[in-house]
Amino acid sequence: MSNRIINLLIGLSICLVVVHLIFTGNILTNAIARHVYLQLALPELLTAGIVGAGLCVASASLQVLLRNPLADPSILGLSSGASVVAGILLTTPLLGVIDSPVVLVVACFVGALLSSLLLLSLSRRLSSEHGQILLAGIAITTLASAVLAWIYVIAPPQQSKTLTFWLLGSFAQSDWSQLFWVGVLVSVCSIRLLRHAHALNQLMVGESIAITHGVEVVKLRRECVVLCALIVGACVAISGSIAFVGLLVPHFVRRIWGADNRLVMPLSMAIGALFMGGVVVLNQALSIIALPVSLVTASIGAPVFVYVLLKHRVAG
Amino acid sequence: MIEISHLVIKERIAVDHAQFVQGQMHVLLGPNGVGKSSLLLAVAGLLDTGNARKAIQYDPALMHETADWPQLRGIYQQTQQPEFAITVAQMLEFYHCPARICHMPDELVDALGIKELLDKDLRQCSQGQAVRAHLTRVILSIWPSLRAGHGVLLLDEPLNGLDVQYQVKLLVLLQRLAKTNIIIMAVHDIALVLAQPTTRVTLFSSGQRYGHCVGQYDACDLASDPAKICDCFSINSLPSWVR
Repeated sequence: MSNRIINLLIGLSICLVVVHLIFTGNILTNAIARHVYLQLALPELLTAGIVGAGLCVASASLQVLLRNPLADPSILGLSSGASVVAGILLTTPLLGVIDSPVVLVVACFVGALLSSLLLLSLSRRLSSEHGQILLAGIAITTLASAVLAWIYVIAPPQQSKTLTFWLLGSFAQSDWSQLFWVGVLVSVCSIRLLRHAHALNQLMVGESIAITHGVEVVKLRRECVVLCALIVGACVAISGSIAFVGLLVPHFVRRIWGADNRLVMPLSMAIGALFMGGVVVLNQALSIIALPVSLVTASIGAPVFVYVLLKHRVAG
Repeated sequence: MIEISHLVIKERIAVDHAQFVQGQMHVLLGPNGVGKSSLLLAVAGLLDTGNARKAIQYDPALMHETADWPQLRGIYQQTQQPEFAITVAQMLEFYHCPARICHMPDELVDALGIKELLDKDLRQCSQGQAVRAHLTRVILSIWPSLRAGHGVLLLDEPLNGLDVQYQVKLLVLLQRLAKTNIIIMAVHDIALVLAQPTTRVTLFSSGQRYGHCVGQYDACDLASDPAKICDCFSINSLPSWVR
């Protein structure tokens, strides 16, 4: 990665933190502002960064694994699977009994993993045609939506309200302890995924070609799917379901810097973190209303999704 | 040397006995669906079905450690278009160190005209250009072994889509490499096979359930007595443009 890109990313990160600090108030002299910054605003910004980085690196890998540039955890049903398990936890007294930040993370991981295994098994049975994997993802998302609808019907009104807010995506509810666990998990899994960037490059040209060159494709796919499910599960646990960011950022990176995963994956992480940080700052700037994160990401991401879909149709 | 005895891959191919040695280029010839591609995959060690692992014996001096095979044997198969925008140079870089691409052997560059394709998006390449790019990837991956005279190159329809200039250049390169290495390729063009008198042809015909190996012959013998080829392809005589 050239020094110019690294300098640009560091510069943008510093700008983001400075703007965030300006909106928070004078933390040097005002003790209340300092407390608000350290206990609420800073964890929110860091959560946004971790979730943005995690979702983008997971999406970039899934897009190569499934040979589909439209793959995104929310479109493929991974986030929905995690949401269903989280929904069950949030609307039943279970979470109150086992009061630990790890429980929700583990539950979301299980949900995301089950969805991804279902997706992989469906993709093997379906033809390798471009749109088939997306249809499988839509089927899983629809199934998860149906289960969530049942949870809404059965759950008490107060818990239904919590679930609605959580499903729209929010960084505001994270605390340092949850942030620590999710941060460690996302970082470890992302580093592990980054180490597979070269093998994913070889897979990108074709599965059979990768095998002839000695890539253990089955092992690689299994490990990457588990890592992606862990990342998506952790991100959904801390911030709810956030759509389209994983589609938006890797696509943007590939357009500018090409398809080499050794560049695409780390750059997607950095730009994803900056993008989500930007959403937090935007939310702070419009302090009259708290915009749900998914509202912002879907508003930008959905038109891009349609654009990419049409472009591929034309190219195909 | 690669020797095959009593190979059976269910629903695909059966080979009683065949031998592939250095010094001659080997061509697999037969109608569609007789299992030529399966045989190439089996020889490459990429087919787990059937008794391929037992039935195919490799010269221990040539291929002993399975882990080293990607550096010793190269296999070209027909490929799918990638879903992402990748240039030919990038594709080569994914499989080889940049130094090997910067200092590509002149004979390979001449034979496949790869220099003019390096900056081209693989998805924008014509069929022939894509074949040239992928052939470069395969040959480059085992080039040190080919230079040392212990490489195995397996090519499935490598001439498909190539214009006559590159067909000729590729065949010249392969004939030269075949003097010290094992080169096996599956082709459909009978005229082209018969025009290479030093080539050793392994003939296949379609059986009731799957294809089987009829035998191995020198191309010059088949040219003088084409009855065996006619039997395999179920035709009465070779068309005039083949003769």
